[in-house]
Amino acid sequence: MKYRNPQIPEGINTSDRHPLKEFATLAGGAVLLIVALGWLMGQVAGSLAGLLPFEKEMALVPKELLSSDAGPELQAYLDRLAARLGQDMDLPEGMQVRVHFSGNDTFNAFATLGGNILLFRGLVEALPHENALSMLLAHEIAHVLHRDPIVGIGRGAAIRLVTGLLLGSPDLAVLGSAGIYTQLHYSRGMERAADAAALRAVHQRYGHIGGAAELFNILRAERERSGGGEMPAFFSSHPLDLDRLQTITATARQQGWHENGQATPLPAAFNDWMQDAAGRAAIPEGQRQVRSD
Amino acid sequence: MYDLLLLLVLLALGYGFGQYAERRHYRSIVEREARLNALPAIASRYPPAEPHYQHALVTGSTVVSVDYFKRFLAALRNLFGGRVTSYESLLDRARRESLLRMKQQARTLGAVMVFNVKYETASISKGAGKTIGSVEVLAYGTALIPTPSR
Amino acid sequence: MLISNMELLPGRRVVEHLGLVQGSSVRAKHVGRDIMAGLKNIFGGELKGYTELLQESREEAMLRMQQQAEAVGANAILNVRFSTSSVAQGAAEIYVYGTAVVLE
Repeated sequence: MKYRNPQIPEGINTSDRHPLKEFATLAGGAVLLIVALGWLMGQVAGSLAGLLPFEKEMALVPKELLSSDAGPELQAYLDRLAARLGQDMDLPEGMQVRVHFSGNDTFNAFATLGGNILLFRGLVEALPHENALSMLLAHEIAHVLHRDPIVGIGRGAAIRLVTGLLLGSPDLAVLGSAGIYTQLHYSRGMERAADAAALRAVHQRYGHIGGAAELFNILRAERERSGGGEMPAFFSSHPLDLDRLQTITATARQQGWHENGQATPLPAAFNDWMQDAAGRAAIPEGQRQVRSD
Repeated sequence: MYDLLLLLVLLALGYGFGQYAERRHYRSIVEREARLNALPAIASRYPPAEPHYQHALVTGSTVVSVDYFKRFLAALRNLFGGRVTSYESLLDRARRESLLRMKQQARTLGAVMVFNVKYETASISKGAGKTIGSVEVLAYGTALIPTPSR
Repeated sequence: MLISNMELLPGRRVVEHLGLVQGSSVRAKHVGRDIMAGLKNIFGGELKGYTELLQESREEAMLRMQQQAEAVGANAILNVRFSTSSVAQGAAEIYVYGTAVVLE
Protein backbone atom coordinates (compact mmCIF):
# COMPACT_ATOMS: atom_id res chain seq x y z
CA MET A 1 0.00 0.00 0.00
CA LYS A 2 1.22 3.47 -0.85
CA TYR A 3 0.51 6.65 0.99
CA ARG A 4 0.91 10.04 -0.61
CA ASN A 5 -0.71 13.48 -0.80
CA PRO A 6 -1.06 14.55 -4.40
CA GLN A 7 -1.51 18.26 -5.08
CA ILE A 8 -5.18 19.19 -5.25
CA PRO A 9 -5.95 21.93 -7.78
CA GLU A 10 -6.97 25.33 -6.41
CA GLY A 11 -10.40 26.81 -6.58
CA ILE A 12 -12.63 23.79 -6.01
CA ASN A 13 -13.87 24.92 -2.64
CA THR A 14 -13.94 28.60 -3.48
CA SER A 15 -15.82 30.55 -6.10
CA ASP A 16 -13.81 32.71 -8.44
CA ARG A 17 -16.60 35.25 -8.86
CA HIS A 18 -15.09 38.68 -8.35
CA PRO A 19 -16.13 40.05 -4.95
CA LEU A 20 -16.71 43.56 -6.29
CA LYS A 21 -19.03 42.23 -8.97
CA GLU A 22 -20.96 40.29 -6.40
CA PHE A 23 -21.04 43.34 -4.18
CA ALA A 24 -22.47 45.47 -6.99
CA THR A 25 -25.22 42.95 -7.75
CA LEU A 26 -26.17 42.43 -4.12
CA ALA A 27 -25.98 46.07 -3.11
CA GLY A 28 -28.05 47.06 -6.13
CA GLY A 29 -30.64 44.45 -5.28
CA ALA A 30 -30.68 45.46 -1.62
CA VAL A 31 -31.09 49.14 -2.45
CA LEU A 32 -33.96 48.33 -4.79
CA LEU A 33 -35.57 46.15 -2.16
CA ILE A 34 -35.19 48.74 0.57
CA VAL A 35 -36.44 51.54 -1.64
CA ALA A 36 -39.46 49.52 -2.74
CA LEU A 37 -40.28 48.35 0.75
CA GLY A 38 -39.61 51.75 2.29
CA TRP A 39 -41.79 53.47 -0.28
CA LEU A 40 -44.61 51.01 0.29
CA MET A 41 -44.39 51.29 4.07
CA GLY A 42 -44.09 55.04 3.76
CA GLN A 43 -47.29 55.27 1.76
CA VAL A 44 -49.13 53.08 4.21
CA ALA A 45 -47.80 54.85 7.29
CA GLY A 46 -48.41 58.23 5.68
CA SER A 47 -52.04 57.53 4.99
CA LEU A 48 -52.49 56.03 8.46
CA ALA A 49 -50.83 59.05 10.08
CA GLY A 50 -53.24 61.30 8.20
CA LEU A 51 -56.09 59.62 10.05
CA LEU A 52 -54.69 60.61 13.44
CA PRO A 53 -56.97 63.23 15.05
CA PHE A 54 -55.49 66.70 15.10
CA GLU A 55 -55.77 66.98 18.90
CA LYS A 56 -53.53 63.92 19.23
CA GLU A 57 -51.08 65.49 16.85
CA MET A 58 -50.98 68.68 18.93
CA ALA A 59 -50.25 66.62 22.02
CA LEU A 60 -47.12 65.27 20.33
CA VAL A 61 -45.44 68.67 20.45
CA PRO A 62 -44.44 69.96 23.87
CA LYS A 63 -45.53 73.57 24.22
CA GLU A 64 -42.19 74.87 25.40
CA LEU A 65 -40.42 73.37 22.44
CA LEU A 66 -41.16 76.27 20.15
CA SER A 67 -40.58 79.69 21.64
CA SER A 68 -41.31 82.92 19.87
CA ASP A 69 -39.07 85.97 19.73
CA ALA A 70 -41.88 88.20 18.47
CA GLY A 71 -42.89 91.26 20.44
CA PRO A 72 -46.58 91.53 21.35
CA GLU A 73 -47.45 93.73 18.35
CA LEU A 74 -45.69 91.54 15.82
CA GLN A 75 -47.21 88.42 17.34
CA ALA A 76 -50.67 89.94 17.21
CA TYR A 77 -50.15 90.99 13.60
CA LEU A 78 -48.94 87.51 12.57
CA ASP A 79 -51.73 85.81 14.49
CA ARG A 80 -54.32 88.06 12.83
CA LEU A 81 -52.89 87.39 9.39
CA ALA A 82 -52.82 83.64 10.01
CA ALA A 83 -56.33 83.62 11.43
CA ARG A 84 -57.76 85.44 8.39
CA LEU A 85 -55.93 83.17 5.98
CA GLY A 86 -57.10 80.16 7.96
CA GLN A 87 -60.64 81.40 7.60
CA ASP A 88 -60.22 81.80 3.87
CA MET A 89 -58.81 78.30 3.60
CA ASP A 90 -61.66 76.77 5.61
CA LEU A 91 -59.57 75.25 8.35
CA PRO A 92 -61.80 72.64 9.97
CA GLU A 93 -63.12 72.91 13.51
CA GLY A 94 -60.44 72.23 16.10
CA MET A 95 -57.51 72.80 13.75
CA GLN A 96 -55.55 75.76 15.02
CA VAL A 97 -52.47 77.33 13.62
CA ARG A 98 -49.88 78.78 15.98
CA VAL A 99 -47.34 81.10 14.46
CA HIS A 100 -43.93 81.36 16.07
CA PHE A 101 -41.31 83.85 15.09
CA SER A 102 -37.60 83.38 15.48
CA GLY A 103 -35.36 86.43 15.60
CA ASN A 104 -32.62 84.33 14.08
CA ASP A 105 -31.41 85.46 10.65
CA THR A 106 -31.90 81.99 9.16
CA PHE A 107 -33.51 82.20 5.72
CA ASN A 108 -36.28 79.71 6.33
CA ALA A 109 -39.84 78.96 7.35
CA PHE A 110 -41.61 75.70 8.02
CA ALA A 111 -44.72 74.07 9.39
CA THR A 112 -44.37 71.25 11.84
CA LEU A 113 -46.58 68.98 13.93
CA GLY A 114 -49.60 70.31 15.77
CA GLY A 115 -50.22 73.30 13.52
CA ASN A 116 -47.04 75.04 14.61
CA ILE A 117 -45.50 77.32 12.04
CA LEU A 118 -42.06 78.74 12.54
CA LEU A 119 -40.98 81.83 10.61
CA PHE A 120 -37.41 83.06 10.68
CA ARG A 121 -36.46 86.73 10.59
CA GLY A 122 -33.94 86.13 7.81
CA LEU A 123 -36.68 85.21 5.36
CA VAL A 124 -39.45 87.49 6.65
CA GLU A 125 -37.21 90.58 6.54
CA ALA A 126 -36.61 89.99 2.85
CA LEU A 127 -40.30 90.16 2.01
CA PRO A 128 -41.34 93.46 0.43
CA HIS A 129 -45.05 93.54 1.26
CA GLU A 130 -47.85 91.82 3.08
CA ASN A 131 -48.91 89.82 0.02
CA ALA A 132 -45.63 87.90 -0.04
CA LEU A 133 -45.82 87.31 3.71
CA SER A 134 -49.39 86.07 3.29
CA MET A 135 -48.34 83.71 0.53
CA LEU A 136 -45.61 82.33 2.79
CA LEU A 137 -48.00 81.92 5.71
CA ALA A 138 -50.74 80.47 3.52
CA HIS A 139 -48.30 77.95 2.10
CA GLU A 140 -47.40 76.77 5.59
CA ILE A 141 -51.04 76.79 6.71
CA ALA A 142 -51.86 74.66 3.68
CA HIS A 143 -49.29 72.12 4.87
CA VAL A 144 -51.07 72.03 8.23
CA LEU A 145 -54.45 71.78 6.53
CA HIS A 146 -53.27 68.89 4.37
CA ARG A 147 -51.77 67.17 7.44
CA ASP A 148 -48.42 67.13 5.66
CA PRO A 149 -46.19 67.29 8.78
CA ILE A 150 -47.69 64.21 10.41
CA VAL A 151 -47.91 62.34 7.10
CA GLY A 152 -44.33 63.31 6.29
CA ILE A 153 -43.07 62.27 9.71
CA GLY A 154 -45.10 59.06 9.60
CA ARG A 155 -43.66 58.31 6.22
CA GLY A 156 -40.13 59.13 7.30
CA ALA A 157 -40.46 57.06 10.44
CA ALA A 158 -41.73 54.07 8.49
CA ILE A 159 -38.93 54.35 5.97
CA ARG A 160 -36.33 54.61 8.70
CA LEU A 161 -37.85 51.70 10.52
CA VAL A 162 -37.81 49.52 7.42
CA THR A 163 -34.26 50.38 6.48
CA GLY A 164 -33.23 50.03 10.09
CA LEU A 165 -34.75 46.61 10.41
CA LEU A 166 -33.23 45.43 7.16
CA LEU A 167 -29.81 46.84 7.92
CA GLY A 168 -29.89 45.70 11.50
CA SER A 169 -30.12 48.88 13.57
CA PRO A 170 -33.74 49.82 14.11
CA ASP A 171 -33.96 53.40 15.25
CA LEU A 172 -37.24 53.64 17.09
CA ALA A 173 -36.70 57.11 18.50
CA VAL A 174 -37.93 58.77 15.34
CA LEU A 175 -40.69 60.66 17.10
CA GLY A 176 -38.30 62.31 19.53
CA SER A 177 -38.06 66.06 19.57
CA ALA A 178 -35.21 65.93 17.07
CA GLY A 179 -37.54 64.22 14.62
CA ILE A 180 -39.83 67.23 14.63
CA TYR A 181 -37.14 69.34 13.01
CA THR A 182 -35.29 66.83 10.92
CA GLN A 183 -38.08 64.85 9.32
CA LEU A 184 -39.61 67.71 7.40
CA HIS A 185 -39.23 66.44 3.91
CA TYR A 186 -42.33 66.93 1.90
CA SER A 187 -42.91 65.28 -1.39
CA ARG A 188 -43.20 67.18 -4.64
CA GLY A 189 -46.93 66.53 -4.66
CA MET A 190 -47.35 67.96 -1.16
CA GLU A 191 -45.50 71.15 -2.12
CA ARG A 192 -47.57 71.58 -5.25
CA ALA A 193 -50.81 71.09 -3.37
CA ALA A 194 -49.71 73.57 -0.70
CA ASP A 195 -48.74 76.12 -3.35
CA ALA A 196 -52.08 75.75 -5.08
CA ALA A 197 -54.08 76.12 -1.85
CA ALA A 198 -51.99 79.09 -0.74
CA LEU A 199 -52.46 80.79 -4.08
CA ARG A 200 -56.21 80.39 -3.89
CA ALA A 201 -56.24 81.85 -0.37
CA VAL A 202 -54.09 84.81 -1.37
CA HIS A 203 -56.29 85.50 -4.36
CA GLN A 204 -59.37 85.36 -2.19
CA ARG A 205 -57.87 87.79 0.29
CA TYR A 206 -56.36 90.39 -2.04
CA GLY A 207 -58.22 89.85 -5.31
CA HIS A 208 -54.96 89.28 -7.20
CA ILE A 209 -51.85 87.15 -6.83
CA GLY A 210 -49.26 89.84 -7.46
CA GLY A 211 -47.26 89.35 -4.29
CA ALA A 212 -47.25 85.60 -4.39
CA ALA A 213 -44.91 85.29 -7.33
CA GLU A 214 -42.62 87.75 -5.62
CA LEU A 215 -42.00 85.25 -2.83
CA PHE A 216 -40.54 82.72 -5.23
CA ASN A 217 -38.41 85.37 -6.91
CA ILE A 218 -36.95 86.21 -3.51
CA LEU A 219 -36.29 82.56 -2.76
CA ARG A 220 -34.56 82.13 -6.08
CA ALA A 221 -32.43 85.21 -5.58
CA GLU A 222 -31.39 83.98 -2.15
CA ARG A 223 -30.49 80.60 -3.54
CA GLU A 224 -28.28 82.17 -6.15
CA ARG A 225 -26.73 84.50 -3.61
CA SER A 226 -25.90 81.71 -1.19
CA GLY A 227 -24.42 79.68 -4.01
CA GLY A 228 -26.72 76.71 -3.52
CA GLY A 229 -25.21 75.48 -0.29
CA GLU A 230 -27.31 73.93 2.43
CA MET A 231 -30.90 74.62 1.43
CA PRO A 232 -33.47 75.55 4.04
CA ALA A 233 -36.52 73.34 4.16
CA PHE A 234 -38.83 75.81 2.53
CA PHE A 235 -37.08 75.97 -0.77
CA SER A 236 -34.99 72.85 -0.84
CA SER A 237 -38.29 71.11 -1.36
CA HIS A 238 -38.57 69.49 -4.68
CA PRO A 239 -40.37 71.68 -7.18
CA LEU A 240 -37.71 74.24 -7.94
CA ASP A 241 -38.63 77.88 -7.59
CA LEU A 242 -38.72 78.50 -11.31
CA ASP A 243 -40.90 75.47 -11.75
CA ARG A 244 -43.22 76.65 -9.01
CA LEU A 245 -43.27 80.14 -10.48
CA GLN A 246 -44.38 78.78 -13.82
CA THR A 247 -47.05 76.68 -12.20
CA ILE A 248 -48.38 79.75 -10.41
CA THR A 249 -48.59 81.78 -13.62
CA ALA A 250 -50.24 78.89 -15.41
CA THR A 251 -52.81 78.47 -12.64
CA ALA A 252 -53.52 82.16 -12.58
CA ARG A 253 -54.11 82.25 -16.35
CA GLN A 254 -56.33 79.22 -16.18
CA GLN A 255 -58.45 80.66 -13.42
CA GLY A 256 -58.47 84.13 -14.91
CA TRP A 257 -56.88 85.62 -11.79
CA HIS A 258 -55.09 88.96 -11.99
CA GLU A 259 -51.40 88.54 -11.89
CA ASN A 260 -50.70 92.11 -10.97
CA GLY A 261 -52.33 94.38 -8.51
CA GLN A 262 -51.77 96.90 -5.77
CA ALA A 263 -49.62 95.27 -3.10
CA THR A 264 -50.69 95.81 0.48
CA PRO A 265 -47.77 97.33 2.40
CA LEU A 266 -46.49 95.88 5.62
CA PRO A 267 -47.33 97.83 8.80
CA ALA A 268 -45.21 100.95 9.26
CA ALA A 269 -43.59 99.64 12.43
CA PHE A 270 -42.66 96.31 10.83
CA ASN A 271 -38.95 97.08 10.66
CA ASP A 272 -38.88 98.07 14.31
CA TRP A 273 -40.60 94.81 15.20
CA MET A 274 -37.93 92.92 13.31
CA GLN A 275 -35.17 94.77 15.19
CA ASP A 276 -36.96 94.03 18.42
CA ALA A 277 -37.20 90.30 17.60
CA ALA A 278 -33.54 90.21 16.60
CA GLY A 279 -32.70 91.81 19.94
CA ARG A 280 -34.70 89.21 21.80
CA ALA A 281 -33.01 86.40 19.92
CA ALA A 282 -29.65 87.76 21.04
CA ILE A 283 -30.57 87.35 24.72
CA PRO A 284 -29.44 83.98 26.07
CA GLU A 285 -32.23 81.42 26.45
CA GLY A 286 -32.37 81.41 30.25
CA GLN A 287 -32.86 85.18 30.69
CA ARG A 288 -35.80 85.57 28.31
CA GLN A 289 -39.22 86.48 29.50
CA VAL A 290 -41.63 83.66 28.98
CA ARG A 291 -44.56 84.63 26.83
CA SER A 292 -47.80 83.98 28.67
CA ASP A 293 -50.29 82.46 26.30
CA MET B 1 -24.34 61.14 5.62
CA TYR B 2 -21.28 60.64 7.81
CA ASP B 3 -22.48 57.15 8.62
CA LEU B 4 -22.56 56.35 4.95
CA LEU B 5 -19.12 57.82 4.47
CA LEU B 6 -17.79 55.80 7.38
CA LEU B 7 -19.37 52.68 5.92
CA LEU B 8 -17.75 53.30 2.55
CA VAL B 9 -14.38 53.92 4.15
CA LEU B 10 -14.66 50.74 6.20
CA LEU B 11 -15.73 48.79 3.12
CA ALA B 12 -12.83 50.13 1.10
CA LEU B 13 -10.37 49.41 3.91
CA GLY B 14 -11.81 45.94 4.39
CA TYR B 15 -11.67 45.20 0.71
CA GLY B 16 -8.14 46.49 0.23
CA PHE B 17 -6.54 44.88 3.24
CA GLY B 18 -8.69 41.77 3.08
CA GLN B 19 -7.84 41.00 -0.51
CA TYR B 20 -4.18 41.69 0.09
CA ALA B 21 -4.05 39.48 3.18
CA GLU B 22 -5.96 36.71 1.47
CA ARG B 23 -3.73 36.67 -1.56
CA ARG B 24 -0.64 36.62 0.65
CA HIS B 25 -2.06 33.88 2.83
CA TYR B 26 -2.91 31.72 -0.16
CA ARG B 27 0.59 32.16 -1.54
CA SER B 28 2.07 31.06 1.75
CA ILE B 29 -0.35 28.12 2.02
CA VAL B 30 0.48 26.85 -1.44
CA GLU B 31 4.18 27.20 -0.80
CA ARG B 32 4.08 25.35 2.54
CA GLU B 33 1.76 22.70 1.16
CA ALA B 34 4.34 21.90 -1.45
CA ARG B 35 7.03 21.76 1.24
CA LEU B 36 5.04 19.42 3.49
CA ASN B 37 3.74 17.31 0.64
CA ALA B 38 6.02 14.43 1.52
CA LEU B 39 4.16 14.02 4.80
CA PRO B 40 0.75 12.64 3.91
CA ALA B 41 -2.30 13.22 6.06
CA ILE B 42 -4.69 10.30 5.85
CA ALA B 43 -8.20 10.03 7.24
CA SER B 44 -8.01 6.25 7.62
CA ARG B 45 -8.15 4.72 11.06
CA TYR B 46 -5.93 1.77 10.21
CA PRO B 47 -2.29 2.72 10.01
CA PRO B 48 0.16 0.23 8.62
CA ALA B 49 1.63 -2.00 11.33
CA GLU B 50 4.98 -2.39 9.61
CA PRO B 51 7.55 -0.95 9.99
CA HIS B 52 7.27 -0.18 13.68
CA TYR B 53 6.00 3.31 14.55
CA GLN B 54 5.67 5.45 17.61
CA HIS B 55 2.43 7.36 17.89
CA ALA B 56 1.68 10.88 19.01
CA LEU B 57 -1.35 13.15 18.86
CA VAL B 58 -0.72 16.22 16.73
CA THR B 59 -3.00 19.22 16.40
CA GLY B 60 -3.16 22.41 14.42
CA SER B 61 -5.67 25.17 14.84
CA THR B 62 -6.44 28.50 13.27
CA VAL B 63 -8.86 31.27 14.08
CA VAL B 64 -9.58 33.48 11.12
CA SER B 65 -11.74 36.52 10.90
CA VAL B 66 -13.44 37.85 7.86
CA ASP B 67 -12.93 41.46 6.81
CA TYR B 68 -15.60 44.14 6.92
CA PHE B 69 -16.21 44.02 3.20
CA LYS B 70 -16.85 40.28 3.14
CA ARG B 71 -18.99 40.46 6.23
CA PHE B 72 -21.07 43.15 4.56
CA LEU B 73 -21.30 41.02 1.44
CA ALA B 74 -22.46 38.04 3.49
CA ALA B 75 -25.05 40.19 5.27
CA LEU B 76 -26.37 41.31 1.89
CA ARG B 77 -26.37 37.73 0.68
CA ASN B 78 -28.47 36.85 3.68
CA LEU B 79 -31.25 39.01 2.26
CA PHE B 80 -31.50 37.07 -0.95
CA GLY B 81 -30.19 33.66 -0.04
CA GLY B 82 -27.82 31.54 -2.03
CA ARG B 83 -24.17 30.71 -1.95
CA VAL B 84 -22.20 32.85 0.49
CA THR B 85 -19.06 33.03 -1.61
CA SER B 86 -17.33 35.50 0.66
CA TYR B 87 -17.08 32.96 3.48
CA GLU B 88 -15.89 30.11 1.28
CA SER B 89 -12.34 31.31 1.01
CA LEU B 90 -12.30 32.11 4.73
CA LEU B 91 -13.07 28.50 5.64
CA ASP B 92 -10.87 27.10 2.93
CA ARG B 93 -7.93 29.09 4.24
CA ALA B 94 -8.66 28.15 7.85
CA ARG B 95 -8.80 24.41 7.06
CA ARG B 96 -5.68 24.32 4.98
CA GLU B 97 -3.78 26.43 7.47
CA SER B 98 -4.82 24.15 10.34
CA LEU B 99 -3.78 21.06 8.44
CA LEU B 100 -0.44 22.66 7.65
CA ARG B 101 0.15 23.52 11.27
CA MET B 102 -0.69 19.98 12.25
CA LYS B 103 1.69 18.62 9.65
CA GLN B 104 4.36 21.06 10.78
CA GLN B 105 4.02 19.77 14.32
CA ALA B 106 4.22 16.20 13.03
CA ARG B 107 7.35 17.01 11.13
CA THR B 108 9.03 18.50 14.20
CA LEU B 109 8.30 15.20 15.93
CA GLY B 110 9.99 13.40 13.08
CA ALA B 111 6.78 11.78 11.80
CA VAL B 112 6.36 10.48 8.27
CA MET B 113 2.56 10.30 8.17
CA VAL B 114 -0.48 11.48 10.07
CA PHE B 115 -3.39 9.09 10.42
CA ASN B 116 -7.02 9.40 11.39
CA VAL B 117 -7.12 13.11 10.63
CA LYS B 118 -10.27 14.89 11.75
CA TYR B 119 -11.49 18.43 11.56
CA GLU B 120 -13.50 20.41 14.05
CA THR B 121 -15.06 23.75 13.15
CA ALA B 122 -16.51 26.23 15.59
CA SER B 123 -17.67 29.76 15.16
CA ILE B 124 -16.44 31.80 18.05
CA SER B 125 -17.38 35.25 19.37
CA LYS B 126 -20.99 34.31 18.78
CA GLY B 127 -23.55 36.75 19.99
CA ALA B 128 -21.31 39.78 19.71
CA GLY B 129 -23.24 41.77 17.15
CA LYS B 130 -25.41 40.14 14.61
CA THR B 131 -22.86 38.88 12.16
CA ILE B 132 -19.93 36.82 13.21
CA GLY B 133 -16.86 36.41 11.19
CA SER B 134 -14.45 34.42 13.31
CA VAL B 135 -14.11 30.73 12.83
CA GLU B 136 -11.84 28.31 14.57
CA VAL B 137 -10.77 25.23 12.70
CA LEU B 138 -8.95 22.47 14.51
CA ALA B 139 -7.28 19.65 12.67
CA TYR B 140 -5.97 16.71 14.63
CA GLY B 141 -4.62 13.26 13.99
CA THR B 142 -2.11 10.67 15.04
CA ALA B 143 1.44 11.12 13.87
CA LEU B 144 3.40 8.02 12.92
CA ILE B 145 7.01 8.36 13.95
CA PRO B 146 9.33 5.65 12.71
CA THR B 147 11.48 4.07 15.40
CA PRO B 148 14.85 2.52 14.70
CA SER B 149 14.29 -1.12 13.87
CA ARG B 150 15.04 -3.49 16.72
CA MET C 1 -16.75 7.35 -7.96
CA LEU C 2 -17.44 5.22 -4.94
CA ILE C 3 -18.25 7.21 -1.83
CA SER C 4 -18.58 5.43 1.48
CA ASN C 5 -18.35 6.25 5.14
CA MET C 6 -16.77 2.88 5.79
CA GLU C 7 -13.06 2.52 6.02
CA LEU C 8 -12.79 -0.96 4.66
CA LEU C 9 -15.02 -2.38 2.00
CA PRO C 10 -15.36 -6.13 2.17
CA GLY C 11 -13.78 -7.72 -0.85
CA ARG C 12 -12.09 -4.54 -2.07
CA ARG C 13 -8.44 -3.83 -1.46
CA VAL C 14 -7.03 -0.33 -1.19
CA VAL C 15 -3.98 0.01 -3.39
CA GLU C 16 -3.08 3.58 -2.63
CA HIS C 17 -4.04 6.26 -0.12
CA LEU C 18 -4.13 9.74 -1.63
CA GLY C 19 -4.84 11.78 1.48
CA LEU C 20 -7.71 14.00 2.45
CA VAL C 21 -10.18 15.46 0.01
CA GLN C 22 -12.81 17.92 1.10
CA GLY C 23 -15.76 19.88 -0.08
CA SER C 24 -17.49 22.75 1.61
CA SER C 25 -20.41 24.99 0.86
CA VAL C 26 -21.70 28.02 2.73
CA ARG C 27 -25.26 29.00 2.00
CA ALA C 28 -27.92 31.32 3.25
CA LYS C 29 -31.64 31.45 2.73
CA HIS C 30 -33.36 34.72 1.85
CA VAL C 31 -34.91 36.75 4.66
CA GLY C 32 -38.41 35.57 3.87
CA ARG C 33 -37.37 32.04 4.74
CA ASP C 34 -35.60 33.24 7.86
CA ILE C 35 -38.75 34.98 9.01
CA MET C 36 -40.88 31.94 8.27
CA ALA C 37 -38.44 29.76 10.17
CA GLY C 38 -38.64 32.18 13.08
CA LEU C 39 -42.41 31.79 13.11
CA LYS C 40 -42.12 28.04 12.81
CA ASN C 41 -39.92 28.07 15.88
CA ILE C 42 -42.98 29.09 17.88
CA PHE C 43 -45.08 26.18 16.72
CA GLY C 44 -42.40 23.61 16.19
CA GLY C 45 -42.26 21.21 13.28
CA GLU C 46 -39.91 20.71 10.40
CA LEU C 47 -38.23 23.77 8.96
CA LYS C 48 -38.72 22.76 5.33
CA GLY C 49 -36.83 25.76 4.02
CA TYR C 50 -33.78 24.91 6.06
CA THR C 51 -33.94 21.19 5.30
CA GLU C 52 -33.90 22.13 1.66
CA LEU C 53 -31.06 24.59 2.18
CA LEU C 54 -28.88 22.08 3.94
CA GLN C 55 -29.68 19.39 1.41
CA GLU C 56 -28.65 21.61 -1.50
CA SER C 57 -25.59 22.62 0.41
CA ARG C 58 -24.62 19.06 1.15
CA GLU C 59 -24.97 18.04 -2.47
CA GLU C 60 -22.71 20.85 -3.53
CA ALA C 61 -20.13 20.01 -0.90
CA MET C 62 -20.15 16.35 -1.98
CA LEU C 63 -19.71 17.41 -5.59
CA ARG C 64 -16.73 19.52 -4.69
CA MET C 65 -15.15 16.71 -2.69
CA GLN C 66 -15.68 14.42 -5.63
CA GLN C 67 -14.02 16.94 -7.96
CA GLN C 68 -10.98 16.99 -5.70
CA ALA C 69 -10.83 13.22 -5.61
CA GLU C 70 -11.04 13.02 -9.39
CA ALA C 71 -8.31 15.62 -9.68
CA VAL C 72 -5.89 13.53 -7.63
CA GLY C 73 -6.71 10.37 -9.57
CA ALA C 74 -8.72 8.47 -6.96
CA ASN C 75 -11.56 6.11 -7.80
CA ALA C 76 -13.16 6.04 -4.35
CA ILE C 77 -13.56 8.14 -1.23
CA LEU C 78 -13.72 6.21 1.99
CA ASN C 79 -14.33 7.14 5.60
CA VAL C 80 -16.47 10.14 4.63
CA ARG C 81 -17.60 12.47 7.42
CA PHE C 82 -20.02 15.36 7.40
CA SER C 83 -19.99 18.34 9.65
CA THR C 84 -22.30 21.33 9.84
CA SER C 85 -21.45 24.62 11.44
CA SER C 86 -23.12 27.98 11.51
CA VAL C 87 -20.65 30.55 10.35
CA ALA C 88 -22.91 33.56 10.67
CA GLN C 89 -26.52 34.21 11.46
CA GLY C 90 -28.67 32.51 8.85
CA ALA C 91 -25.73 31.05 6.97
CA ALA C 92 -24.63 27.47 7.43
CA GLU C 93 -21.57 25.66 6.25
CA ILE C 94 -21.71 22.06 5.22
CA TYR C 95 -18.35 20.40 5.24
CA VAL C 96 -17.60 16.92 4.01
CA TYR C 97 -14.25 15.17 3.89
CA GLY C 98 -12.80 11.74 3.46
CA THR C 99 -9.80 9.79 2.25
CA ALA C 100 -9.26 9.57 -1.48
CA VAL C 101 -8.09 6.08 -2.37
CA VAL C 102 -7.39 3.95 -5.37
CA LEU C 103 -9.26 0.68 -5.12
CA GLU C 104 -8.12 -2.42 -6.86
